Amino acid sequence: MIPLPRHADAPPVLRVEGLDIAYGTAPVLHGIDLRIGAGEAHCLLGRNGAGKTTLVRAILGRIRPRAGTVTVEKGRVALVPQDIALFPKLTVRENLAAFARLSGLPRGAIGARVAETMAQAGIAERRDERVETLSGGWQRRVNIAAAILDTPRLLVLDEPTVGVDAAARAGLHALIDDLRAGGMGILVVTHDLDEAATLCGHAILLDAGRVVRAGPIADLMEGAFRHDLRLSIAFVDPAEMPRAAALTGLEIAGEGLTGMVADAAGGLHLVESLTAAGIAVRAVSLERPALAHLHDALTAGSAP
Amino acid sequence: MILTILRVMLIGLLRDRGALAMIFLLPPAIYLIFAAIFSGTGQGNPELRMGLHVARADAALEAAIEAMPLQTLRRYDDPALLRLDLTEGRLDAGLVLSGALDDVDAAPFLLLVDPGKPMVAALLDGRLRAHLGAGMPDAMARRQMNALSRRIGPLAPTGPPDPEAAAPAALTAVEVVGDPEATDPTVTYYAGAIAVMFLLFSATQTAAGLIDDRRSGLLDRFAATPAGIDVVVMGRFAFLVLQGFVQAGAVFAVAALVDGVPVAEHPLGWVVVTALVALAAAGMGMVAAVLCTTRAQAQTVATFVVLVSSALGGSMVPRFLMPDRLREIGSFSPNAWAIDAYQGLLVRGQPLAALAEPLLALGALGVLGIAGSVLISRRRMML
Repeated sequence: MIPLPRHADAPPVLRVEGLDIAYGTAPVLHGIDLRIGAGEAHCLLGRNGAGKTTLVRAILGRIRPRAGTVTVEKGRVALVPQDIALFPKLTVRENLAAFARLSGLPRGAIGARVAETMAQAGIAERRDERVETLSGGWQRRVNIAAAILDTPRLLVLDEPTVGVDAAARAGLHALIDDLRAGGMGILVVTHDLDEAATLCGHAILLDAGRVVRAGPIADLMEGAFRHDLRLSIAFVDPAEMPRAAALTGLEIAGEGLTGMVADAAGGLHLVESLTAAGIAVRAVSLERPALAHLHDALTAGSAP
Repeated sequence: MILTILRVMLIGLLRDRGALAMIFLLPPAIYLIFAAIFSGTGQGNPELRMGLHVARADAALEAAIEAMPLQTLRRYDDPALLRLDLTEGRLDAGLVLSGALDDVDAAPFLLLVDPGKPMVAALLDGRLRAHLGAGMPDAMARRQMNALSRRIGPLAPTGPPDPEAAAPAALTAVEVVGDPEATDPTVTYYAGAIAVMFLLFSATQTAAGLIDDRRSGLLDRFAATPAGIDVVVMGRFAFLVLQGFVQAGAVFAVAALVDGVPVAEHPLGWVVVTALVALAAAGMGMVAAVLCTTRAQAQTVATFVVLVSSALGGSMVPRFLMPDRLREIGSFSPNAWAIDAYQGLLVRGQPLAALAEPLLALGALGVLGIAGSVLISRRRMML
C-alpha cells in the first residue's frame, strides 16, 4: 500500500463548500460544508430522504451542483456499493485484475498490485474461488478490495457490513480501520448507528438536506448530553406508566420510561420516588447515551 | 384459501404492465400480422412486383395483364434489364409475353422467377389463369379447345386424333433466373431469417446484464474510476457484436454443412454482412437495456419488439407473401435488412456494393444504437 501523508496540516482529502443541489426545482441539499482529513473516518447519518445518497453522488462527481464545490484530493475517490458490485462468475483474482485495468493501473503493475491488495484485504486464500461461491462476508471483503486497488484518497462505503454475521462484521471493521490508519479518508454511509460509532471517530448528521451536526463523535455527544446518563425504567404493571411519567418527568418509550439524568444519584433518587409512591419497578438501567440517541434527538422531527 | 391466492395473483398481474402486454397485447398483435399475411395469400392476391417484357405485341393480352392485381407492374423494353432487376431483388418475378394465347404449340408466357422466391411461379401462374379466364374468357376457351383438339382430336367428327402430334404447351413456361444447380434458396432464406431472429433475442437478453450492473452498483463503481461508464457500455456492445457473429456463424456452419448453403463461396461478403447484422442486433439490445429499469421490463420489451420485428421482417414468413402495407412496415425492420443482404449475397450472388442499402441500414442501426446507449446511460448516471 502506498503510504499517505497524515500530519496535522495535511490538506483534507475531501472538501465540500456551500453545496446546494436541487432536482429540478426541488431543493435537496442546502449549504453543505464538510471536511474529511487523511486518516479520518466519518459516518454520514440521517433518516431516509435526508439527502445522504445525493451527497454521496455529488462527492463522486455524479451530480452537477447548483452552487458550491466538491474537491477530492487528486480526484481519487472510490466507492464500495451496498450490493456486491463484482463479476460473480470470475474468481477473486480475476475480478481484482479486471478492476485494476479499469482503474487505469499500468499493465505491468497489475499482478503485483492485485496480490498486495488481496493480502491487505485478507482474501489471498480465496484468490482462485469464484465470487458467486463465497459467503457474504468474503464477498464484502472483495467488494472493498476492488475499490482500493488504485489507493484512493477517499473511500466511500455504503452500508459496508449489511447482511453479514458478527464475526465477519468484526473482520470488515478491522479492514476498514486498517485502511483509515494507512491514511485513507473514509466516509461510511449507514443506518447502523452502532457500526457508525464503532468504525468512525467523526459523524455528519444530515436532516432535510442540511448538516445539523458534524464533528468528532465524542465532541458531539458531550455537546448534546454533557456527562448525562440515560435512565430507563421498566414496570411490573405497565398501566402505572402514565402516573410514573408524571411523577418523574421521564418520557414513555416502548414499555418503560426513559430520560437523561445528570448522574447516578439523580437516577437513584427518581427510582426511590416511584417506590415511595407505590409503583413497583421491574428493571432499571443507567447507561451512557449512544450515537443513536443523538441521531434520534436531532432528527426526530423528520421521521417518515 | 384458493380464492386468496387467485386474488393475489390477479392483483399482481393487473399491476404488472409488462406481463399484461405479453399476455394480452402480444398475441393479438402477432395474430393480426399473420392474419394479414395469410388472408392476403389465401385470397390469391399476393402483392407482387412484376416486370413485363412484350416480345410479341398483343394489345388485348397486354391490357389484361396490366389489369392484374399486382403491387407494381413495370414494363421493360429490354429483357436483359428485366433479368437484371430480378437478379438484384427489385422484382419478385418477370413475365415475357412471347406468343399468342390460342397458340398451343408454344407457351405464350415465360415466367422469370427469383430463385429465392420459387413459390412465386405457382402463385403467378394461378393468378394469370384466373385473371385471363375472367377477363378474356373467349380467348382462354379457344386455347382450351385447341389444346383439347390436340389431345383427343377435332371436336367435329372429321377423323381420329393425330398420335404423332406434339402435346399442347402449358400457358406459362417457367425459368428460374440464376444458377440452376444452386442450393435450395428457401434453405438459404431461412438460414438468414433464423440467424437474425436469434441474434436479436440473444443480444437483448445479454444486454440486459447492464441492468444488473446498474442495480448492483457496478456502474456506480465504474463511474468513479478513470474508465467511466462509457467503457462498460461499449465493452458490452463489443461483446454482443462478437457473440452475435459467432452465433450467426454457428447457424450458417450447420446450414452450409447440412444443406450446402454457399457460405464458403462468399466468405468476405458473409463476414461483412454478418458483422453488420451482429452490430445492428447489439445496438438494439443495448438501447433496450439502457432504457429499461428492470430485467423483467427489458425481457418484455425485447420479446415484444423482436417477435413483431421478426414477423414483419420476414423471419417467419417471406415478406413477398405479405400485403403491401405490411411489407412496407416490415421494410424498416433489421430482420428484413439482414434477410435481403443474405439473399442478395448467397442466393443471387450480388456483390456487396449492390447490397449497400440493407447493409447501410444495419450499420446505421448499430451505430445509432451504441451512440444512443452511451448518451442515455450517461444521462441516467449524471442527474
